Formats: sequence, structure tokens, C-alpha cells
Amino acid sequence: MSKLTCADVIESLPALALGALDDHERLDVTAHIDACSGCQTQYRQYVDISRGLLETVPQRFPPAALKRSLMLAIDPPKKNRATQVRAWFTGAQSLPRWAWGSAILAVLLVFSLLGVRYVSMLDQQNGLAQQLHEQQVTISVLTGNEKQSIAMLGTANAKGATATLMFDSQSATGVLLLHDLPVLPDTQSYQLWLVDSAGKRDSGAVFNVSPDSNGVATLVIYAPQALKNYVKCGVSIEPRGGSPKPTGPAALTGTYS
Amino acid sequence: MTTSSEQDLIERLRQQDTHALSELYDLFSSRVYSLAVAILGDTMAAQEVTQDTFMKVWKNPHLYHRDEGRFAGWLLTITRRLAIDHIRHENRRSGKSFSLDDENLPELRDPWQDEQARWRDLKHMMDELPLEQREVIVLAYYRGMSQSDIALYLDTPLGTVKTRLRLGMEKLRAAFVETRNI
Ligand SMILES: [Zn+2]
Repeated sequence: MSKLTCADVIESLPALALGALDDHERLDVTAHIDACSGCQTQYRQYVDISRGLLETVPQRFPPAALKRSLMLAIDPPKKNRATQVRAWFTGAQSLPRWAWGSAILAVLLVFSLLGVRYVSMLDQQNGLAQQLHEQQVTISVLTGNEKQSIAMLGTANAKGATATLMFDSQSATGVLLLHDLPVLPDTQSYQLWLVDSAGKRDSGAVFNVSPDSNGVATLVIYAPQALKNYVKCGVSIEPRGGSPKPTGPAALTGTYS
Repeated sequence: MTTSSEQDLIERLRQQDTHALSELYDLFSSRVYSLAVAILGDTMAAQEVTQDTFMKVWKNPHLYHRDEGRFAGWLLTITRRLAIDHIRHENRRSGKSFSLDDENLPELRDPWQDEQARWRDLKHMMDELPLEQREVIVLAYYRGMSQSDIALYLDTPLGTVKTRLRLGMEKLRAAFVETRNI
């Protein structure tokens, strides 16, 4: 039993109910309350108020994808997961040899004719130095000796869209070339996901396509590991700024051949 | 007071019925998310906290007892704690002591239409408090600061902070207890 009087304790009850008592005071006060029903009654009233305060905030609604993500997290039956992955990553094909020509052409078009990047990376700096660096990366990827490419096709959420992920075999840096990806509302972003053979999904980039892009955009991506190590890739629609793991609908899907 | 349908939901949660979690989410996610956004001021972090709140309930439904009061109150208490942990974690990571901007204080608005009028009364009482009393309550409760933290943050003597917090809460209590007895 502490030496505090009821009067001392009553002064501290509001702060206790708000969780604002400093540690050394809290122990003495709670010890008193445990043993004193008068103080306990008052304390309950303050707790009631503090709980009420949690109900007085402006109303908001979480994005629908959050529920899907929660339900998947608590209930990942193997069957479900397999279906989901298949749904995400079907219809892929490798890029035919001739397509390299058109890919390079498209990149050069974006760079030299228009002179600007039409994809804004939300997770990177957007300065001129960065742009120059990305142009160099793009050119080195496209002219590398051991280049590899993965074709991605638009889902129902991005009908007619296509994308190509290009990289040098040893590198964790690659280029994503996007065609006809719809412009998203301000509240959403696209996010590139790279899936390894264990099913782990790494975020490759978070980006938005500008309305001025004329349907063509390129994006340099920086993966956590060499891009050849992945087995699948996809682009999902996420809340603006991206998500720690895919939560939204797929826009593009591709499988390594 | 826990309603019978809530009690039924909780019972089903204890049996790890995923449909029960789905229903619970539909019932409460907006309130949980609203509180998380109000505390964190960031929708991405608020989504994380919302998910963590429901995960916590899913994993520990036995932690809720009837004498905890209304189920929603218990749930929001979890949300508040997780959100404040998040703020503290971010502050430690960034080396900042507090992440608060004055204009970033959560604004209190009219609460849920279908809730007891009590919350609305409480909100109006809160609005009527002198700014300096409201401020310390908000910093303590929505930002997880102790009275010493607040004194430091506002550059105000600790005794003054304690007095403001106590006076403000006493007014809320007086009015709140009164409305409840009507
Ligand atoms: Zn006492």
C-alpha cells in the first residue's frame, strides 16, 4: 500500500485514465486504486470519458483492399493461395526477339523526343541527376550482352495494357517499359511486385503514370536481388504511396519463361 | 454494454470462425481506421494499424471480457495503443523526440450517428474547453505523451501541464456524469 492520500490520487486520476502519468507515479496510484473503492469509482468515470474520446474523430473508410488483405493474412488456405497466384500471373509469354527493337525504339522515343520521364516514382528522388542516371541505366540495360525480358499483360483492370521488364542477367537493376497503362486517380499508385520461387514478394517500384504520357512510359527499377532470381512479376493497384505487400487488384501480370 | 449479437460474434471469434472476423471487420473497421488516421495523420500507417488491430483480436479474442465495457471501446483502445506504439517506433527510428506539428492535432468531429448521443455531448464539451486544456488532453491521449513529455514539448512547467489536464478532465467528467444521469 502506498502512502498517497485519496486527495493525492484523485488529482492524478485524469492523467492515469489518459495514460499520461509518468511511470514512477503510475505504480503508486494504481496500487492505491486497487485498494480503495472510492477512488476506483471515480477512476472508472474517467476511463469512460477516455474511451468516449476515441469515438469523436472524423469518420473515414479504409480502402476495400484492406479487408481482402486481412482475410488472406488470417486464412491462407493452400488452395486459395494457389488460385490467387494463378489468377495473378497467367497469360505470360517471353518477349520475342523482334520486340527488342520496338522496345528500344519506344524508350528512345520517350527520352529523346519528349525528353521527360512520364512516370513519377513516389519512392525516389525525382531530380535531373536521377533522370540522367536512369537514362544511362536504361541504355546500358538495353545494350547489355545478357539481357533478358519478361512480358506482362494487362488484366481486366488495365485492358490492353502491356509491359516489358528488361534487365541484364546479373543485375538487380532493370527497366520497365509500359504501354497503355490507365492513369490512376490521385489516391492510388501502381506497384511492381517481384515474386521469388519461395513465393516472397518484393516491391520493385511504386509509380504513377502521368496523363501526358501518350501511353508510353519507362521506369528504372531497383530490386533487392538480381532480377533473374525471380520467377514471376506483377503490377498491382495500391493506395497512393504503395503497400508493404500487395493488397489491391492486379493490373499487369507476367511469368518468367 | 455488449449487445447479444456482439457477444455471439466474440464467441465465434473464440472458435476461430473466419466469417465472424469478416463481420466484425464490417461492423467496426471504419471506426478503427478513423481513429488510426486521427492519431497517425497518415493513411498508409493507419491501414497497417487497422490490420494489426483486427489481427490482434483474431489471435487473442479471449482477452476481451464483458467487464471491459462495450466491445467497440475495447477495440478502439487496442487501436489507440498500436497507433501510439507506431508513433513511438517511428520517432525512435528517425531520432525525433516527437513527430507532432501543431496543425497536425486531430480535429474532433461529430461522432457516429448511430452511437449514443453521449459521445456527441462529449465532443461538444471537449470543444468548449479552453484551448490550453484541450491541447494537453489531445497530446496525452492521441499522441501518447506523458505529462513530462508534454511539459517539455510545450515548454511549460510540469505543474501547469498537470493542472490544465486535470481541470479539463474534471469538466468533462462533471458534464459527462450529469448527462448520463438524466
Ligand atoms: Zn482513495
